[in-house]
Amino acid sequence: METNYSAEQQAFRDSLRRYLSDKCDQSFIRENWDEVVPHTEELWGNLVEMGVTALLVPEQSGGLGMGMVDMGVVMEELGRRVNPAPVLASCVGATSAAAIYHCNDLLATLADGSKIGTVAFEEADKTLLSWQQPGVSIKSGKLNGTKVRVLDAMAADVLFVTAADGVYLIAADADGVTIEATEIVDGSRRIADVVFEDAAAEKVGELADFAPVIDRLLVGLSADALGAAEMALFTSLEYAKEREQFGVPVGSFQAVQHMLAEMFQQVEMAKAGLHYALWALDDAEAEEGHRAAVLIKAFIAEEFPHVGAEAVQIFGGAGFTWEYDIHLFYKRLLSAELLLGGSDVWLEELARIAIDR
Amino acid sequence: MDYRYPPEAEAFRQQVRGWLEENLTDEVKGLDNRGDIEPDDLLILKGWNKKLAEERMVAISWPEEFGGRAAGVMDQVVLAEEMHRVGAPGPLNPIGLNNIAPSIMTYGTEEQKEQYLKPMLSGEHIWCQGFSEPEAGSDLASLRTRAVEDGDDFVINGQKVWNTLGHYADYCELLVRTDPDAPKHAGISCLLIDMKTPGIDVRPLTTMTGAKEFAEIFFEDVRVPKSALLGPLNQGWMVAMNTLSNERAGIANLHLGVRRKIAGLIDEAKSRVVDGKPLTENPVVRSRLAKAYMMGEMQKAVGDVSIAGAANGEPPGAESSIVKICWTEIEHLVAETSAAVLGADALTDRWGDNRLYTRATSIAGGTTQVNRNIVARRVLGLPKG
Ligand SMILES: Cc1cc2nc3c(=O)[nH]c(=O)nc-3n(C[C@H](O)[C@H](O)[C@H](O)COP(=O)(O)OP(=O)(O)OC[C@H]3O[C@@H](n4cnc5c(N)ncnc54)[C@H](O)[C@@H]3O)c2cc1C
Repeated sequence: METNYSAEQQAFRDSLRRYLSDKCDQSFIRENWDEVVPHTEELWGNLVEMGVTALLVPEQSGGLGMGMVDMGVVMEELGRRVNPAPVLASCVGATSAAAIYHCNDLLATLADGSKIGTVAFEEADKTLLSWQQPGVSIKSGKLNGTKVRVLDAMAADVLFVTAADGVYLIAADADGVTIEATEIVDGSRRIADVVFEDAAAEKVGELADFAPVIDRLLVGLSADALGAAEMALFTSLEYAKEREQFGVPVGSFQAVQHMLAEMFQQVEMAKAGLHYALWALDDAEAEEGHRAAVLIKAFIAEEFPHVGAEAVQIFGGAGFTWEYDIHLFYKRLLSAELLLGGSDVWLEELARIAIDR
Repeated sequence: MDYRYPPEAEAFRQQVRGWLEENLTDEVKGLDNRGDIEPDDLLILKGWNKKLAEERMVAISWPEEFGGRAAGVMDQVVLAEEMHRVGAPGPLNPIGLNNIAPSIMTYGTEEQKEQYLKPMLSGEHIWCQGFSEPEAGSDLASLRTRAVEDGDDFVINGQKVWNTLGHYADYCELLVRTDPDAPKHAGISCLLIDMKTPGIDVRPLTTMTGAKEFAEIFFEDVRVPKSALLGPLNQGWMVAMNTLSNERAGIANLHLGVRRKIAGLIDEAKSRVVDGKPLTENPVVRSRLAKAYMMGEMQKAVGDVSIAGAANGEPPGAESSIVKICWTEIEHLVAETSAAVLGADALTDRWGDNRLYTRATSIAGGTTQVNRNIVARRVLGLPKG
C-alpha cells in the first residue's frame, strides 16, 4: 500500500515548485489579479515544456498518457501559488473530454499547448446533480441557451458543451457565441457565462460519457484547494512564530496553537482523501472513482473555508489588508468551496450514494 | 500510489474468513469485549478468547514464541476488518495486549515474558493500567503513588483512578514514584503487580452511562518483590511511553467501529416513516447523515495513510495524534447526528448510550487538548507557552 506520490512524481513536483516560486511568485499573481485573461503566455510556454498540457493526453494522440495522480501533483502546486493558468479547464476538463470523445486532432493541439479548451456544463437554474438534463437546446446542429461559471472561457479557443442530446464541440469565436466574464472575489480564477444563439456546433458524443470529466474536475479543483490550504497553514504558522505580542511570539499562545493544530488536522485529512480520490480515478471502478471524487469535494467545501479564515485570523489586522498575501489563499479556498458545486450539492450526492443505494 | 492490499494479505483474509465462518457461534457474535461485562458473558468471552488464542489470532503481531504470528500491519488490518465484518468480539485484554505487552516485550526479563505474556493472550489473566491518579491526569508525570525499597521488596502507598477493568484485573502495570527528589519524569518506575497482593483495595467506579467500567485502586503498605520492576529503576516514564508508539494498527482501524455506527444509523433512518414520508426523504436528515458518512470515510483515508506508513517501515509520526483527534471528533459528530436523525428516540437504548459513551473518546488516553498541544509543539514546532 502506498498513499504518497512516487519518487518520480515528487521530483516532478519539486521542479514545478521551484519554477513557480521563481517565476510566478506573489507579484506575478498580483499583476494578473482580476485580469480577464491573465498574461500567461510565458507561463503557458513553460508549463507546455514541463509536460503539463500533454499529461492527460493519451500516448497514441501525442501525449504522455499519464493519469490523475500525476495531474494531482500539478494542481497542488498551482494551488500553492494561487496560479491563474487555465490548467484545470484545459489540461483536465477539455483534455479529458477530447480523449473520451476521440477528438484526435484537437488532442494534439491541446497536448502541444497551441490550443486552450474548456468545458461548459453548468446552467443557472440547475445544480450539478442534474447536469445530465441540460437546458441548452439543439436544432439542426445549432446550440441555443446559456452556460454559466465556465472555467477560463475567455482564454479558451474551443469549448465542449453539454446539450439536450449530447456533447458538442464549438470554437470560442464561432458565430453565435458570446462570452461574458463574471467577476468573483477570487481574482486568481476566471469564470464566464457563455451564451449560444444559433451557434453551429459539432456533436462529438453522448452525454452519459461525460461523467468522468466532472469527476476529474472535482478532484483537480480539490487538489488545487489542498495546495492553497497548505500554504495558508504554512504562511500563518511562520507568522505565528515571528510576530510578537506581550513580549512573546503569538504562536506560544495556546489558543493560537490549537487553531493551527486544527488547521493541520483538516489539511492532513484532505490530503488523505484527495490522494485516495486521485488513485481511484485512475485505478478503481468508475463508480468508486465518482464516490471518492464527491467525498473530497464535499469535504473541501465543508472544511476549507474555515482553514482559510483561521489563517486570516492569525494575521490579525494585517490579515485584513490587501498588502499581506494571506487573503489570496483565503479567496482561492472560497472559490474552491463554491465552484463546481458547494457542499449542498455534494452532500446530497453523498446522501444518494450512502442512503439511496 | 496504490491502495490495494498486497496479495498475501488478501490470502490471509480468506483464511480468516473461513475460520470465522466455522468457529464464530451466535452466542459469541455481537458481544461487547469492553466495559461492564455480565458474568455470564465474561465466561463466554473467555472461551472465545481461548479459541482465538489457540488459532494464534489474538495478537498476530507478536513473535511466534509468545503465541503470535509475527504478522505485519497489513495482516493486522485484515484481521480487524474481518472480525468487524461479522461482529466477532475482540480479545478480552485490549489494554494488556496493545499497551502493556509491548513494554513487557521491550523491557521485560525472560521470566516476566514467560510468566505474563501467554496467559494475557489466552484471556486467562486480565490486566489493567494503573497510571492516572486523582491529582495526576494530563500531567501524568506528577504522579505521587510511592514505592519505597525495603530489603528485597517495594512497599507501595497511594491511589490510582479511572483504571479500566481494574475490578476484573488479575495484574496491573503500575506507575510509581521511586525517587521523590529527582525531576518529575526521572523519578518514576514501572511495576508489574498481582492484584491479589494484600493491601490493595479496588473499588469499581460507575461511569456516566451507569456501567461499572473502571475502578479506583488504593494501595496501603502493599509489598511486592523487586522482581516486579519492569525495565530499569527510575526509567518508568520511558517504559510507559514505549506503548504509545505500538498502537498504530489499532489507531488506523478506528474507522471500522465508527463507520459501522454510521451504517447502523442510516439503516435506522431508512426503517422510519415520519409525517407519512420515509425519514430519509427529509433534506435535513439527508444532509446530516451525508456529513457523518463523509467524515467516516475521511477517517478511513487518514487511517490508510497510517497503515501505509507502518507497512513501508516508516517510524510512527504525528499522524497517530491526528488520527486519534479525528476519530474522537467523528464519534462526537455521529452521536450528535443520531439526535438530529432520531429525535427523542436518540435518548434511548444504544443511541442514548452511545451519546454518553462517546464523551470518553476525547478524554481517555490523552485528551484532545493535550493531543493538540503535541501536534502544535512536535509537529508544527511552535514555542512552549
Ligand atoms: C473511559 C476512560 C478510561 C480510562 N482508562 C484509564 C486507565 O485504564 N488507566 C489510567 O491510568 N487512566 C485511565 N483513564 C484516565 C485518563 O487517562 C485521564 O482521564 C486523562 O488523561 C485526563 O486526565 P484528567 O482526567 O485528570 O483530566 P485533567 O488533566 O484534569 O484535565 C481537565 C481538563 O483540562 C484540560 N487540560 C489539562 N491539561 C491541559 C493542557 N496542558 N493544555 C490544555 N488543556 C489541558 C483537559 O483537556 C481537560 O479538558 C481513563 C479515562 C476514561 C474517561
